[in-house]
Amino acid sequence: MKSRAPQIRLLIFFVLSACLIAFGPFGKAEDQPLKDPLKEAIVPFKLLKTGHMTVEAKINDKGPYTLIFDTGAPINLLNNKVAKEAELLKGKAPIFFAPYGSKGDVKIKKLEVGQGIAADVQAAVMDHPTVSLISKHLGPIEGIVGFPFFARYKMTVDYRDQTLTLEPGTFQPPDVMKEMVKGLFGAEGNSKDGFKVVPSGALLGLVPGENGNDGSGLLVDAVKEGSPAAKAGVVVGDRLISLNDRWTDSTTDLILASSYLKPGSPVPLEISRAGKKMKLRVTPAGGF
Amino acid sequence: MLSRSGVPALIGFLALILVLGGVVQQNPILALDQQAGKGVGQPVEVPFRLTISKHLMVRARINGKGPFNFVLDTGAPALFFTEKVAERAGVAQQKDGWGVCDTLELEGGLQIPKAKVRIDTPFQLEGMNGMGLAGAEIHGLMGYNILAQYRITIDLAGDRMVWRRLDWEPKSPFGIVDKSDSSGQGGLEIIGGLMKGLGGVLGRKANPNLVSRGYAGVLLAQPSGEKLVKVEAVLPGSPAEKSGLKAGDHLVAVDGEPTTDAASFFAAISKTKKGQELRLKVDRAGAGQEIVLLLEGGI
Repeated sequence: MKSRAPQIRLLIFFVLSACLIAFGPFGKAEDQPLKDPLKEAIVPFKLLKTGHMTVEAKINDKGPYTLIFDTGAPINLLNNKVAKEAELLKGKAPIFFAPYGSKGDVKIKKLEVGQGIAADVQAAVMDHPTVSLISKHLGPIEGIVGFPFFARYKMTVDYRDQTLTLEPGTFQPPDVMKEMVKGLFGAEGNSKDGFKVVPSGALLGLVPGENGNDGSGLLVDAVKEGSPAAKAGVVVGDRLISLNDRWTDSTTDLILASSYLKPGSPVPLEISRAGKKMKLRVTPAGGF
Repeated sequence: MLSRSGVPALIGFLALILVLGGVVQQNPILALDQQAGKGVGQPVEVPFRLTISKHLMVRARINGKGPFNFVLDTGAPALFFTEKVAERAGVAQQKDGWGVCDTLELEGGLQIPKAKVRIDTPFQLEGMNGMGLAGAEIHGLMGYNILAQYRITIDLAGDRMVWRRLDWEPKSPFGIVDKSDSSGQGGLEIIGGLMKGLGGVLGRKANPNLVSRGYAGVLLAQPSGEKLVKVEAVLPGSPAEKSGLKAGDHLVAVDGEPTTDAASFFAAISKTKKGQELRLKVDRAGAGQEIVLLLEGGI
């Protein structure tokens, strides 16, 4: 089983790192909001024959470099070559565990993707093998632009025009790594008994019953007297099809859908009563 | 002993799995359907959820079955879902590894006709679900062949996207054939199994067990000049009524923790569940009162 040895080493390594990460301080500043005010930037992209899209980006005024634009990437990635040229590795201590030339987290002072300019953007440095493979055939491609960049904007992707339209946004992307570790091992994870409490954004006054299968809807077991649900006309035995346009097939679905509610903001509530679909409107209340 | 400087690299490695869906192999030359002209420009709001792993997740019913969870992924060359999903939804896998969904409905009501799908389990999914990284089981990736048919606006400040059908026919994606790399992933596939193994060690599940906060039956007054949380009404027959809480009471502490405004109050009760007792300190017309409230189930 010689071929298994590296896997096992890695596995143990992950476990060790998990413990270290859970309690170790990070001491990294959060991503800063965009400093340069932006009206609207239309960024052209190129569509590769693999179906991936690439953009031209300047990193700390170096470049432009071709990067894959990836909404499925929670982090930005740059290869070692670019990291060196853009002087992102200055003062970074060599690291103990470095698969694929990994150099860990860096902060890009200025990331320009077309006319979209973002300050203090987090990135990881690594020679990602899938990027290298695409680069070898269709490149050069030096990395990936993902969530820490695009989440700052109201973004429109149009493959026909091959443009990304970036408008000013109010969302401030959190430190993805920190959040993920928190989610895995920390306060955001399950409680001791294995259950995680997800508070509703506002009060409805519903008690869910058995789950529905494939859209048949979540059974209503009880409706609290005088509650917003009662006022909206929900009765025991109704099946909840959707709340606020989110499907409610299960208690979990209802819990998650209710987490987006805001006190006093009416939302649509679709139910099925004796096999007939009905649309109600409910105004959830501030309360608990 | 590991040095601290190694930590970011390790997390980077952890995150490596989350980017870029597989490069489709075998030059499939996937034929996209001509839907030009149908429903072009009609905006449809599609609710999404930002996962713990910071993926944009949308839900879909396939052939009426589901819902199934998909990551919106311009880094994936096509729609991917697992063999399990294909089986449940009755999507037959053709010899070339592809299948066709008779109906694919996104949450919010968007119908995607005759969606072509690559039936496969990318290692990214195996790893993510094995470690429970997203906080929800991810059944597939929604990539280029679907996304390219729409103009999609995403604003993370909100909770829904806007999709508009485009009047054009996207080209089929090609795969990369590389002699030194048979997988199209550059040798990363090993990580999926690894993370699944580690998830097992850590006792992680793809779908965590979620519960709602306990129900008290208290309506709170809209915040006005006073910052303290004020009870506007107590619903009839509710745990709050049974506890003796009254309209006009100010809630000043929960389980010994002072609550000076709505934010601190909701933070104090954020992990309370059905069957749990809340010890509330209330201010009633200037006099302090202790109230014990037994939470019920309800949302």
